[in-house]
This record gives sequence, C-alpha cells and structure tokens, in this order.
Amino acid sequence: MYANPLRVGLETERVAPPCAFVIFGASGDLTRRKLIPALYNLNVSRLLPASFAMIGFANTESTTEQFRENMHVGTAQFSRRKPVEDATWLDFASRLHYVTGTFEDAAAYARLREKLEELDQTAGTRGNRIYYLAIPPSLFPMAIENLAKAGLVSDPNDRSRFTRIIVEKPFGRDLASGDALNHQLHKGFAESQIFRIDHYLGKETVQNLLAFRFGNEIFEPLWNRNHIDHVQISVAEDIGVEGRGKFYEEAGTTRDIVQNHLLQLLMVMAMEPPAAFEADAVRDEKVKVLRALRPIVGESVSKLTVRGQYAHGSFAGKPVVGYREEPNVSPHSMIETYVAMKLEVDNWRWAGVPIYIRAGKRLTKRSTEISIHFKRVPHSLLSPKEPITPDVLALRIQPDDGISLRFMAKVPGPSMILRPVNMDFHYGTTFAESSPEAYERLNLDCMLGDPTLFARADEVSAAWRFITPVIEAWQHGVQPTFPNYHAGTWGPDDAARLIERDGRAWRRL
Amino acid sequence: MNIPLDQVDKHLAKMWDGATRHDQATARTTLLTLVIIVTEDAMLERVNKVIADVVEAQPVRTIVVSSAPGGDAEIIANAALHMNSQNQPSGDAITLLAKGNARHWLPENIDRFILSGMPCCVWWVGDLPDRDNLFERMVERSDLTLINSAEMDLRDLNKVADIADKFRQTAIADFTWARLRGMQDLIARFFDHPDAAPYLDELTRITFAFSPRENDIDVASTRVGLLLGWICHALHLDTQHAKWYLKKGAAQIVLHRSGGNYPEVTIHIQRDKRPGVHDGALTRIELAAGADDEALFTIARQDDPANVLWTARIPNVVIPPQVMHFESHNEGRMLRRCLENPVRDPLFEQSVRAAREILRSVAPRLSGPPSTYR
Repeated sequence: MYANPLRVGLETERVAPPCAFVIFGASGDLTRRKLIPALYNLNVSRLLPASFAMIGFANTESTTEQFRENMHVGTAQFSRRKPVEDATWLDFASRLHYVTGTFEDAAAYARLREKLEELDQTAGTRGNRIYYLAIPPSLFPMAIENLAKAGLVSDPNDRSRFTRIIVEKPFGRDLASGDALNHQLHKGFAESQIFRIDHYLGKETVQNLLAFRFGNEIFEPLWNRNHIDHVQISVAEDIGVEGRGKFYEEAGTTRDIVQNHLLQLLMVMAMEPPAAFEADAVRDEKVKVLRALRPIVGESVSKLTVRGQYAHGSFAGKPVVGYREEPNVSPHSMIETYVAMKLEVDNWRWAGVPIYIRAGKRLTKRSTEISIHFKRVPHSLLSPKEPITPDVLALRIQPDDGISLRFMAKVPGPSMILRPVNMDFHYGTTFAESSPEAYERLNLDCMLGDPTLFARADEVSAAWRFITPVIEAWQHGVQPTFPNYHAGTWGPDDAARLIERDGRAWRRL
Repeated sequence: MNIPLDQVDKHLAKMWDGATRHDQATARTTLLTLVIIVTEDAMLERVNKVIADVVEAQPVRTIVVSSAPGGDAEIIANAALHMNSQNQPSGDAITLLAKGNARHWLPENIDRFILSGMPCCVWWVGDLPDRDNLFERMVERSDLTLINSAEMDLRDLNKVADIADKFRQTAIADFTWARLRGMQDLIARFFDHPDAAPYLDELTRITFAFSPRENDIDVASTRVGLLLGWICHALHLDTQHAKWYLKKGAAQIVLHRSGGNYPEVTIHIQRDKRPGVHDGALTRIELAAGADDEALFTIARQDDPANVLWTARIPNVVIPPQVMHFESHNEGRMLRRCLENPVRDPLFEQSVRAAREILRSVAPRLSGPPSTYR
C-alpha cells in the first residue's frame, strides 16, 4: 500500500478523500442549520478535499444559485465560526449544487446520477458518494430503492470507490419497525455502508468519557460493583417541544431521547474496555451492555419506570404553557415528556448496581450528566455520629462540560468534622480550542469510512428490544394521570419516589 | 509590591483564598508551569500580551524572568493571579527580576516555583544565546523549550539543531514550526492523491518564494529553511552535497536524492516582498515533476494574505483548485498550540538538522559552534 513519505511523522488532521455528498431533503432545516455549516467548518479547517462536491436533492423548486444563497444565509446564522469568511465561502459554495426532484420520481434519480457523473469528471469525485437522508423515515424505503435502481450504489467490496448512506434517528418506532428499517436499508446497502447518526456520540465530551475511562489507570479499577453504589444518567432539558408538537406526539421522550441518546451514554459508561479503538471492537462491547440489560417486562414496568407530562408552569421567570397546549398537540395527549427508569445490567461488572436514568422536557434547567455514586466507606472511623457522604464522580456532558469529583475533606479546626468538597475540571477553561460540532466530526468520520461513532444495526435492534416491551406495557397498562408535573420543576413526584424507595435520591443537577 | 521569595507561595495562596471567598474561583486547575525568560525589557509588553492570550485558554503558572545588570545581587519577586476575561483567576503570575550577579541564582530560585508533578516549559524570548549558563540550566530543567525561529536569522537554525542534539531530555517546540504544520499538510496533500503519488519520484524543481524582512541579507527566511529541511529529510535528498548558486535576490540549490534512480532536484528560493505579509512568510510554493513540468503543484498566497490557492495540475486528472484559509499570525495562539502536547517532535528535530546541513555554507554561525554544544 502506498505511504506518502511527506506524511511520515507529520502531525496532521485527517483529510477526507474525494467524494460527492448528497443531502436528501436539502431544503429542510437540518441542512441549513447543521449540515451545511458543518461542511463549511470542515472546509475552513482544511479537512475537505479539493475534489469535494455537495448536491442538495429535494422537491422544493430551486436553482443551484438560489440554493447557494440560502445556504450562505444559514451558514452565516448558524456556523460556530463567525463571520463567514468571503473567499473561503465562495470557494466552498462553488462546490454546492442542487437537483430538484421528488423522492418517488425515478427521473429525478436519473438526473441525480447525471449530475454525479458530471461531477466525477469536473470535480474529480472519483465515483465516491455519500447520501445523507435528512428526510422522514417513511421516505427511506423509496429513496433507497430508487438509489439502487438508478445504479447509484456501488458494490461494498469495490475498493476503487465507495458509497455510504447516513441516516438520522428515529431508527424506527419499536423493535418491529426498527428491524424493518434495517431490513430496508440492507436491501440497498451493506451494513458497512450504513452510518446511523446519533449526534450525542459526536460530542467531544462523550468521546472524552472514553478517554477518561480508558486513558487513566486510577478510575477503571473502581469502575465496578465492588466500589460503585449506583449510577445516575440525566438528560434534562428546560425547553418544551419548541414547535415540534407533531413529531413529539409520535415519539415522546422514550423514543426521542431514551432509546438512543440515553442508552448510548449508558453503553459508553458501562462497556468493557474494547480490544482496540476500532469500530467493531468498540461497538461489540457497547452492544454487550444492551444485551445484559435486565428486561423490564410485566409488573416490573410499573415498578421500575415513571412517565410524566408537563403542565403549565414557568421558564426563565415567564409563564409557559403545558404540553397539551403546545401547537399540534392533542389536548388529551398521553405522550410522555418525562421518563425515569431503574435499570440493572446483569453482568460481572455491574451486577447489583442500579442505574437510574431520567430524561425530560421543561425541567428546572438544562443538564446532561452521568454521575457515578461510590459506596460509603465500610466503617465511619472519623465521623461516628454522622454518616460520611459517599464520593461522587460527575461527568457533565452539557452544558459546562467537564468532570467533577466530590470527596470528603476535614473542616479546619480542633474537631474532626468532615464535609464534602468538589474538585472540578471544566473543559472550556482548560482547553482553548472550540470543539467541533458533532455534525462536523460525524460527517468527516463518514467520509473517512470510520463508523466507530455511529450506531450499528444490532445496537439499534438491541435498544429497541429493551425499550419496546416498556412502551407496549405503558400502552396496555393503567394510564397515569397526565399532566403530572409543572413546567420548570424536576419532574413528577413518582420519579423521586422511584429512587427514594431504594434509600437514594436524584442528584441535584 | 515586592515580595520576599520565600513568601510568594503564601501570598498566592492568600489571593486564591480571597478569590474563592468572593466566588470568583470555583477550582484551581493548573496544567503546567511556563517559565518565560525575557532577554530585553522592550519585549515585556509583547510577552504580557502573549501570556494574556495563553491564560485565557489554559490555566498555567507563569514565571516571567528578567535581569538587570549592575547593582547589588538580589532577586526581586512579585506575585499575582491571572484573571481571564470572565474575571476568574486562571493561574499564578510570578515575576522575578535578577539584579547584578543574582542572575546566576535564578535557576534554583525558579525551581522552587515550578509546579510539582506538572510539565515545565521554558520560553526563551529573543535571540538564542550562543553560550549562556542561565539558558542551558533552564533548558536542562524543562520538559519543553519554546522558541520562535521566525524572529531569528537563518544561521540560528544551526543553534536550534545543536540544542536538539545536546539536550536530549527536553523537547523543543518552535512557534514557527507549529505554524508551518498547515503548509506542510497542504504540500503533503498533493501526493495523497493516488494519481499524483508517482510524481513525487519525478520531482525536478521546488520553488519557495518568501517575503523578506527589510534589509535582510539572508538567502532565505527561517520558514523556508525549515520547510526545505523537512522536504529534504522526508524525500531523502542528499543535503551534504548540496550545490548552491547565489544570485542577487534569488538562490538555487541542486540536490540529489538517494536510494533510487531519481532526477536531480533544483530548489529555487525567491524574494517576493508583499505588503500585509509577515516577514519571512512564504508567498508561493511550487513543485514541478516530470519532463517539462508535466505535473505542477502550487500553493500561492492570495491578495488577502490569510488565504492561499492550492492547485494541482496532473495530466488527465481533474483536481479542482481550492482556497484555504489560515488564521492570522498570532504568537499567543502558536504558543498555546505548542503547549498542547509538550513532547518531543522527532520530525522537527530531523528537519532542523537537515536544514543545518544544507544551510551551513550560506548561513554559517558567526561565532562558530561553542564547545558546550558539542
């Protein structure tokens, strides 16, 4: 294999190979707010190759010129780098193209193929294609079928060129639909060509969790049932559904957050060290965690899970409406905007260590974190009257990402009085460089063919296998009285009881 | 207010205590000690600017050291907290001024303030000394020695290579080398392309154009020297038998490549004074390969000097040109980059050694190699 001698010893970034990046549903918000700003930032970081082209494909009538202008406006507004640099933008914009077409129209795919072949000649994209499906999952089968029919998918074993497809969550609604979606994807693409985005995995802090666990000797020996009392994973949002009422009515917090983001955090927190930092080695270990999750079925559903829905309340000192008053939400909706669960991972490392998870909208504040609560000291030698507060290691994902360790220290003075103190590490104040957006990292990884930070089919399937019985039991069981918490609070009282009955409490976020 | 040396730590602890009580400080995180040795008072203002930039990003303890000849031997200390733009303490700021012969006591007195268990980095600001006891003793103590070759003469690359040879326990980081990383990547990128790769063996000409300093008599800037050294090292060009041809405003070097049947490579170095371009910066790099420049690879600085145009012309292959953006020249940013990973960079050391070899005949050390370096 050729090794460029000018690369030897050179500490450089990973530059993407020549390729055409096709966004299906390019007239949508995701393209303007996230995808194009991410690609532009990759270009500014000099991580895109000269032979790069992007094609927007959507049914909205538009010209390439109009598309470029729209994307310029979006990038100026949403890029993390401001202002947009003129010369770099002009160069980048010259690589943007637009093809109008509906997803069912075979002729549109023929036009797309024509455009891609033209770009192979004029932009040197060498037959390499990435298709980003920024479209509703209901349109996936049609898009996949038409791509295959139009001869736009290369053989996965063809070493001279590649075709990859990126799909956004939701990856189905339950086990059956999730598997059906995988089946659909596999009709057109091999698993090695499919990149399922969970943008949480693109976050620097989630990757730092891997660095923290497997780059340090001191914590991993403690990372097990012998030293850990329990774990809490919280994904708290202070916002409501923000105009996504229609989507939320279909999804709810369980499908929107728990089945993907939250279980991803759980997997990264609980996985065994992989044999290598390689895609399949990492994902093999992650999926083992899901397989070891004790199923929540039958009567245990009502014992181990809590649902909630927010009523009117306040946010940032102003009144806000309840979920049922949100636009495009049924006034009788039984969709959950809050979920708490007690999970158990039945394996050698985690047996007997409960993992409490919670996720919700319109909570007191925005905070995503994993907290590891260590066991109490075996004997309270220094403070016989008062129990010693156990140590807590908190891994903050957002905002104010960082790590803090709470441990006991002696209060100065003649008496042996202990109190907990915090040792804090703030990502933002320790490392200067602004972190790339998750979409930058993930799009680049896909171009480079590195699926480590993407969900694999069996991972998605295992997540649904765990979640589906819970959703089904909720549908068929006794319905809670919704709404059951006020906007701006920490969720329903039942969630507090879920953890309190084990003699524990939710950590103050 | 001056503080006795043995009171500096106490003074700092008191200030941290006060900041904590006023809710300014939630944590006291430190990454490393940065010792900055300022050889001329005139540089202090520049150094302070760079420090402000660094502490904004990284919580470090800085020790700024200067000396004043004459007077009774004495070291005067001062201590304060660095405050970031959010008015939060972001590290300790210690200054030491050595008067008279006290300069000789500095290394041990700096030692006492180096954070235990954390890396110690020494930035020597200004010209590298040929032989200086303080410099050598500080380099010996440091994990990382920081320099900025952009402010040096070409012959000083000689000294840098000598330091790399002599002090094996310390890493050397050059702000300018850190800055060149982007340019190296663009050069290497030409030959990542499978259709371009074969042309690397057929290189016949490399042209470097740079914007010289006013009244500069060197044939090249240190940036050119470093890039040249890197290319010679990477491509196994025989630096010992380089043939130089000097003309007014330009120079040529003829080099042979070892290990195969390769064509002769001619290096052209051209002056191209450009307004708005930093002294010594490259304005154009061109690599030609094959008969009659069959393949041509060019990086050319644009009217906006922050942008370069990258073009690769290979027969029967389409590679569109690309505009690449480089952040503006900023010493604080480069220092931060060097501090990110304070470990040895073998490629830098090999490149600077190759540069020493090739530049020896046109940029000899004025003082000759001091015995301490050999």
